[in-house]
Amino acid sequence: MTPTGTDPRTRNLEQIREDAALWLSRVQLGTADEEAFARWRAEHPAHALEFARAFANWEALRDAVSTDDLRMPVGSFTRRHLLQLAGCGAALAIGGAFWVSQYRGWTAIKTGVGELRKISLPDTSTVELNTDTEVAWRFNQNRSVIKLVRGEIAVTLRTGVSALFLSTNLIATLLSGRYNARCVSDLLRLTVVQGTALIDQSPRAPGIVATTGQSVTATAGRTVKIEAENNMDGATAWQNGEIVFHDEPLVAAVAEFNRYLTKKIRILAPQAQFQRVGGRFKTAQPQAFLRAVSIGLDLRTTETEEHYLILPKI
Amino acid sequence: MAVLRPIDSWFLTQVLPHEAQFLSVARRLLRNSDDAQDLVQEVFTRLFVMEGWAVIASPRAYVLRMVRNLAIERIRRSRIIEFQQLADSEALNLADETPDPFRAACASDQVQRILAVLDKMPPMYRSVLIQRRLDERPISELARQMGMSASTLEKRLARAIYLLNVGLRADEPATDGDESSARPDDAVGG
Repeated sequence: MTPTGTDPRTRNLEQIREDAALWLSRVQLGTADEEAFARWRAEHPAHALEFARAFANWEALRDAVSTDDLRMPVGSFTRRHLLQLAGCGAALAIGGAFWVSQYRGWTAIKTGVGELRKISLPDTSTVELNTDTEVAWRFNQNRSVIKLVRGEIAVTLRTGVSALFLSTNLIATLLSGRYNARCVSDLLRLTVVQGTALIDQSPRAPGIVATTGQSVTATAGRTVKIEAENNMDGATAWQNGEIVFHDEPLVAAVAEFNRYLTKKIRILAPQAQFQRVGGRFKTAQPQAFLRAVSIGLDLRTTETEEHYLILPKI
Repeated sequence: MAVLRPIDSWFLTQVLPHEAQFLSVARRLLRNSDDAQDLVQEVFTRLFVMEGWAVIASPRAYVLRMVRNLAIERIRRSRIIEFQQLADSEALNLADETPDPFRAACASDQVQRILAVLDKMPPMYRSVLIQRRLDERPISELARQMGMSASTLEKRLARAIYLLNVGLRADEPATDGDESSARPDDAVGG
């Protein structure tokens, strides 16, 4: 047992902890000399470690305080919170409220059906929006926070840049690389085209990791599954205005194609719904897809004012 | 420049949440709380200079193995080897893949610890800490509102952050323990 302060090593560690607190203070106030900070952090792994510890506590602080605390008289502080936090449910509700309460400061971008868009963020990341997509982003703690509300996006982060990805079903830290995320019919699928995604399963539980060639799927109940992505080509084809099917039921292929169409395709040939289709098509050219379907599955197609129709052969 | 580099994000999300378990395992092997903290600190600093951290499939199991191996190294270097310590280290091989027994399912634990630390903190530091956490206005505006210079605000916030860290460390649930009476089954999920 060594009392703090007499062992030179301990004293040194305390000094590092004070320095880490000072750097975090400067970073949080925007007064840090970035180069000096990067130099200090790289100087010794203990510097990086103590800064990370301080940062973790600073982040955790957010769940514990609210604007009411600024007005509360000293002394009543703890009791009020203990009442609020009577159960886990209350604590998790506070954690959840943070995403909502920080909504100011977000920039939201949408695309219409059939539209593609590409945006550049301040840290030189790019986000491409697929058809019928809504995404919001903000710059927080010097990194981008990208929130997928619905639809599909491709995110590219250059070396040394990471971003926080949010969606209803999944929270992940994306390290530099390329990612595809889609949120269609309450199913979130995050594909790591190249890079590493650290998946947070809850605000505090330890995460899991998905790497190049893997996809993470998460449903509304927050069940998370990691698997190898067998259709990488299909996951990224939309960026070139293409759509790729690998042996999929017609009904699924049509649903996918309809995401890009204002005039939707309807299947009026029930027996054909689960026949398998495959191929590569232009999203802007549904006629070519319909022609392939009619020939391949021996069906007939027609076009009305509101719809493209797939019908049985007469 | 990002405040958090990829390795920092990885450390914060994959490793640090399991610190209580690492400390418990180290304490069981070394039979001393200070030595255990020292050892975990060393393991953590090694992680920050390690190549290939991003591809570790299970960071918790990996760090547990590092803790165990470094502890064995230290036990062997010490003059008196307790047979039981090495026997325990063998048992820990099996514990790598078991769920972390120290991870609280409920986030309210940590929130309450933070509130307890804030409660004890001198009000001048506490108010700066809370104000900045909630308010992202430029430092000049914030300092003016709080009636102090920017440089005072910077120092006071640094002190407040330091006090928060010290408070949370002292209050670490698994570090104040009964290591003298700890039996092999106590520490690792048994």
